[in-house]
Order: sequence, then structure tokens, then C-alpha cells
Amino acid sequence: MSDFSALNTAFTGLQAHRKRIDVIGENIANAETPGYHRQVAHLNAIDTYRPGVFAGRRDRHSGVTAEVRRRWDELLDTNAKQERSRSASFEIQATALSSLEADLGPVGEGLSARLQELWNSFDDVANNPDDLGVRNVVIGNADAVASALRAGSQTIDGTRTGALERLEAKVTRINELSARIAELDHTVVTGGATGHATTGVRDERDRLTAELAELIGGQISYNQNGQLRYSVDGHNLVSDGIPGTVSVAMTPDTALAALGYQRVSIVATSGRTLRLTGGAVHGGLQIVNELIPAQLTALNNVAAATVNTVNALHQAGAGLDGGTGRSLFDTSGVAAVDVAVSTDVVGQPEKLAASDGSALLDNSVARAIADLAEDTAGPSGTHAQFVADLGIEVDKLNGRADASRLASDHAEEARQSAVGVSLDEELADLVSAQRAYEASSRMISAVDEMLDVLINRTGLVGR
Amino acid sequence: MERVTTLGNTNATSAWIDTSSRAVAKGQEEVSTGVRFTLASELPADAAALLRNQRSLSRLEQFERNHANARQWLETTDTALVDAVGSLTHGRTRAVHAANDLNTPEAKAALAGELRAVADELLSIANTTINGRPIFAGTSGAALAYDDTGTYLGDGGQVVRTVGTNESFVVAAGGPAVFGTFNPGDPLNGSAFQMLDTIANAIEAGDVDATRQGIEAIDAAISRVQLELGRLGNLSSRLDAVEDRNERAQIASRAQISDLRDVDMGEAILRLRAAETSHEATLSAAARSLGRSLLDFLR
Repeated sequence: MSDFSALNTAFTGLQAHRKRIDVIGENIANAETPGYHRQVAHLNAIDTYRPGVFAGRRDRHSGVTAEVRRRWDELLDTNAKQERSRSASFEIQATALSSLEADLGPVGEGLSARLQELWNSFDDVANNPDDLGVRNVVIGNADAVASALRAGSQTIDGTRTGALERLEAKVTRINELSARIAELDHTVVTGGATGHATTGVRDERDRLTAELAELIGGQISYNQNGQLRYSVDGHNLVSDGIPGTVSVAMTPDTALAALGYQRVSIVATSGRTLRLTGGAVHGGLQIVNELIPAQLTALNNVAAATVNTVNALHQAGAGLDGGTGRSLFDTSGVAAVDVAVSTDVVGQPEKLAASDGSALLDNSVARAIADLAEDTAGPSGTHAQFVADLGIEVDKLNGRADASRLASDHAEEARQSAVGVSLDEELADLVSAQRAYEASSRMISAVDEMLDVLINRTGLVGR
Repeated sequence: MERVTTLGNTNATSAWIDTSSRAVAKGQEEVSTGVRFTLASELPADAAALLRNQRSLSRLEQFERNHANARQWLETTDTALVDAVGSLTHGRTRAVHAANDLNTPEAKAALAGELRAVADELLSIANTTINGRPIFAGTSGAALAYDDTGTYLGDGGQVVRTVGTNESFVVAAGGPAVFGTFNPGDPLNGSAFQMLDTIANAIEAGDVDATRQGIEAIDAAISRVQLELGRLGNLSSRLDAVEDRNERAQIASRAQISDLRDVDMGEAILRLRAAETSHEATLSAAARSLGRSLLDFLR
């Protein structure tokens, strides 16, 4: 055992605790950095006892080293990403549908009020069948109903267009992310092999993977080198440091064709349609393929009920000129977007049918149309059902979004709790590291004093 | 052991502040707008009920306008019929006066003239209009119910008004039911105008028997009008009942709508106050926990 080994041991202590203090400093600096993973300096005792060739020989180096490790929990990390992707899907659906509901206007205003005004004005015509002014009011009200239906249809369609644009932007972002993650992945592997610190790169890779998961969901796995594989329904977005791409595809669909839409899907490079289970893109697909088409179909049913029911009664009636078979609403299209007052009556109030044809001033047709106000299966009833159904749907989606956000928050909390920085903890560590550092330096001075005695004061007996 | 991390604490605190400030915003919205919801998704069941009530209220309000119109028709018709009875009664007294052999030819001519005047008056009553529409002409759209010759120009159509759900009234009397039908073969049992003219002719001719028969015919005409008057009176009291019912239904509907949509102000203010208190507490708790670490206590 060398006399200087104690000095060396004390020196390794200085180095190790110095490193701990550095790491604590970095942790404290990044305490509020999103995506930062806490680093911990793990201390290991050096014990290099080797049995010598000659018995009794001991050549022992001792001391301590500090190994910096990044705190990371694959299970918690993956779980947080999956929960986030689920919640992202519900949130985007809930947001889209509730903003649609708000765009369609408050309960009891808009189309429901316009329909009511139409029925009431028909009663006014029934009271004064020969009053052209009152008849003009009916035609004006019918036009207001038609334009409310058209506006509703355009609002729903606009929501879909907006959702589709955002979906495309997200797919572009996904491809950017997969390219960037592949690059970082490469750095992690080569950096790890050459012994460079890769914690910052890993943090960045985790942050981008989290963003990717929020966008499209999918599965993440790591191999022994720490290399990442990100796949969505079996399609690799990142694998072996090579990025993959996805794209938006439109395919004809019989159910959507009636609305003039195509089915939107996300396809792999091979053209295979990917089945998504979460992520904002999954939510976007739900919006454009399911939610919006369902609402548009429901509004079209209201339009068809309005046009067909009113026209059936109106066509059987006769105008003041005795003419019959005229429509109040244009029959060429019964989709909400096409509803318009028929040219049969527009600008010609005398042609509006109030009479059943038995006499000029008979009002039975006008009264029958006014009675539609109370028909629960009629236009007003169908529309009330539409409003209530949309409200229930939005409420349901909001509930799901809230619940999934809660789950996602919990998973993120658990992850954060495992890998995040706690200032109190760091400060307590700092105190202990500082003390250990001081003690190591004291050790060096102690050895120094011992050597001083040995070198300078030995052999001075009697001098 | 669950570690409490700085970022985790920051995130949780900001989530709490977000939740409590959202509660304050909702409370403020309730208090300042006075309504519990504007979108169906906020309270789906109440929204559906609100729509139903708004629909029925709007319908009831229209019924009220229909009642006003029906009432105008009933009252105008009633007045016309009362006038008609007055004219016919006047005609009858003149005819009774003429029904003897003692009148001079001049007196007979004067009495006959009076009966013809009654016929004219009756004709103008028969052509009573509402907004230019003759009320006794049915649904024909003719400008007059009877022309100068006493020919009926209207039709047998009924003037109907919707006064309630599945409830409609015939609010006018048809001309023939009130004033009789033109009958060339038997003028005394024909239209009232024809009848009065025939009696006038009989008085001029001094035909006392014919005049007496004429008086019976006038009596028949009066009772015909009174029959219609009775029917209208009946209808009028039924309309009263319908109006009462409508008014009560409107009040009930409005109360329902208010219950569903309007905020109970006291309760809303209380809720807002509670939300504010909890928001303030959240903020002060956040201020206390966010600024603290071991650093503050290490010397």
C-alpha cells in the first residue's frame, strides 16, 4: 500500500462529489423545463483488491466514482404517451362539435324560430286569405327558413373543411417529427457508443415522441442500444434510425357520397390504410368521417321533412288564381344546402295556396300547414330532435374528453413524479454533496500533514 | 413513494387555478346573462323541454291572434244579424199596418215603399264586409254577397278559424241560411228581399190575404235569423272559454320557459360568491406553495 494512495482516494472523493454538485446544478437549472429528466449521480466505491503473486502482498486502490444516470421509466413514459394520445383524440372531437353547436346558435333561435314564424304566418293567411301583404310575409318567412337551412348546412360543411385542413397540417407535422426523431435516434446510438453524454438528446427525443404520440398514437419500443422503434398499426414511423411517412388519402364511400364527401384515411407508404387508435389525427378522422356527416345527414332530414311535408300540402292547394300543383319550396333538391323558395310562388303572393280548391277564399290548406307547428314528426319536431341530439352528442363527447384528460393528467403526474426534479430533494442532496466535498478536501490536508511529519521532521532527533 | 416534483407541482397548481377560475367565469356568465344555458349541450334535457315549450308558446300566441280575428267575424256577423232582425221587425209592423181594407191608395203606396226600403236596408246588411270581404258570401271571394236583384253571389263554403289545437270554429253565417234562397216559383218562401218585394206588391194591389201570408213569411224569416243569432251566441261563449284556456296555457308555458332557462338570481349570486372564494383560496395556496423551497430555510 502506497503512502500516496490515501491522497488518491481523497482526490476521487473530491471529483465524485464535484460531479454530484454539477449534476444538482443542472437539475436545479432545469427544474421547470418541460420534458427534462432528472439526472442522478450514482456513487460507486472503487475496490481494486487483486490477490498478489506473493502471499500477503496487497495492492489496493480505493476511492469512489460518480456515474451520472438519467432517471427514466419506460413503463410510465409509454403509459403517459398512450393516455395523452387517447385524450387528444377525444378533446379534438369535443372541441370541433361544441364549436359547431355554438356556431349553429343558441337554443330556440335560428331555424326553430324561423319555422315557427312560417307556421304562424300561414295562420295569418288563413285568417285573411285574400290579403296579398300577409301572403308576402309567408313567402318571406319561407325564404328565411330556406336560408337558415342553407346557412346551417354551410356551417356544418365549414367545420368539416376546417377539420380536414388541420388534419393535413398535422400529417405534415407527423412526417417532420418522424424525420427529426430518426436523426436524434441516430445521435443517441452513435453518441452512446463513443461515450458522449446523450441525456439532452434523449430528452429532446422523448419530447418529440410525446408530441408524435399526441398526434397519431401508436406503439413505442426500445432495443438494448436505446434505439427507438415507433410504429402505428404495424407501420414504422421510426425504426433503426430510419424515418417513415404517412399521408392523407380520400376514397369514395357509398354512405358519404350522398353528402358529396369522400372517406378520409391515413395511409402508409405502401398505400395500406392504417387503423388508428388514438391521437389528434384519429380524432380528426372521426370528425370528418363520422361526426360531421352524421350532423349533416340529420340537418338534411330536417330539410327534407320541411320541403316534402310543406310541398305535399301546398301542391294539393290552390292559389287565388285557382292554379294548383305549385310548390312552396323548390323540389329540385331536398338537401339542406339546396333549399330555396320555389319559383312557382316567389314574387307572386297570389299563387300561394291557402285554399283546397273548393272556393277562392277557403283556408283549409293554410290551416293544415300552420298545424305542422304541433306535429312532432313534422319539420319543427324533427329540428327540435336535431338540436337535442346534437346537444346530447356534444355533452357526451365533453364528458369523454374530460375523463380521458383526467386519466392523461394522472399518467403524466406519475411520470413526472418519477422523473421530474424536486428542488427540496436537490437542495438536500446539495448540502450532503457539499459536506462530502469538504470532508474529502480535509482528508487531503490530513494526508499532507502526515507526509509533512514524515518528510520534514523525521531524523531530526537530537538536532 | 410518490415524489413531489417542482414541475409537477407547477402543473397541478395551474390546473387547479384553471378549474376554479372557470367556475368563476361560469358563475359570472350566469349572473350577467340571467340564463342557465345558451347551448343544448350544457343541459340537454332542459334544452329539449325548452324547445318544446317555446314551440307551444309561439303556437298559443298565434291562436290568440286567430281568436281576435274569429271574434271580429263573430261580432260583425252578430251586429249584422241584430240589424237584420230590427229591419225585418220594422217591415213586419208596416205589413201589419197594411193588412186591412181601410188604407187609402196613397197610404198603401207609402207602406209598400217602406217595405221596399226595408228590403234595400236588408240588402245592404247582407253585404256587410270585414276588410272589404262580404261576410255572408261564404268563401267565394265575390265582391258582394247579393247583387241588386237579390241574387246570391257567394257560395256554400264555411269560414273557418283555427282557435286551438285540433279545434276550429265556423265563424260566419252563410247568406242563404240568414236571408233565404231565391225561389221564383214561391216568392214568399224565397229570399227575404224577394219576399218583401212580393208583400209590397200585395199591399199596393190591396190584397189583404196575400199581405197576411206575407206577415207569416216575415215571422219565419225573423226566426231564421234568430236561429243563426243563437248559434253565434253559443259560439261566442265557447270562444270565451277557449280564450281563457289559451291564456292559462300561455301563462303555464311562460312559467315553464322561465323555470327552464332563467337563472335563480339569488342562487346564482351565491354560487358565484362561493366560486370566487374558492378561487381566491386556490390563488393564495398557490402563491404560498410555489414560492417555497428548502432554499428559503437553509442558512
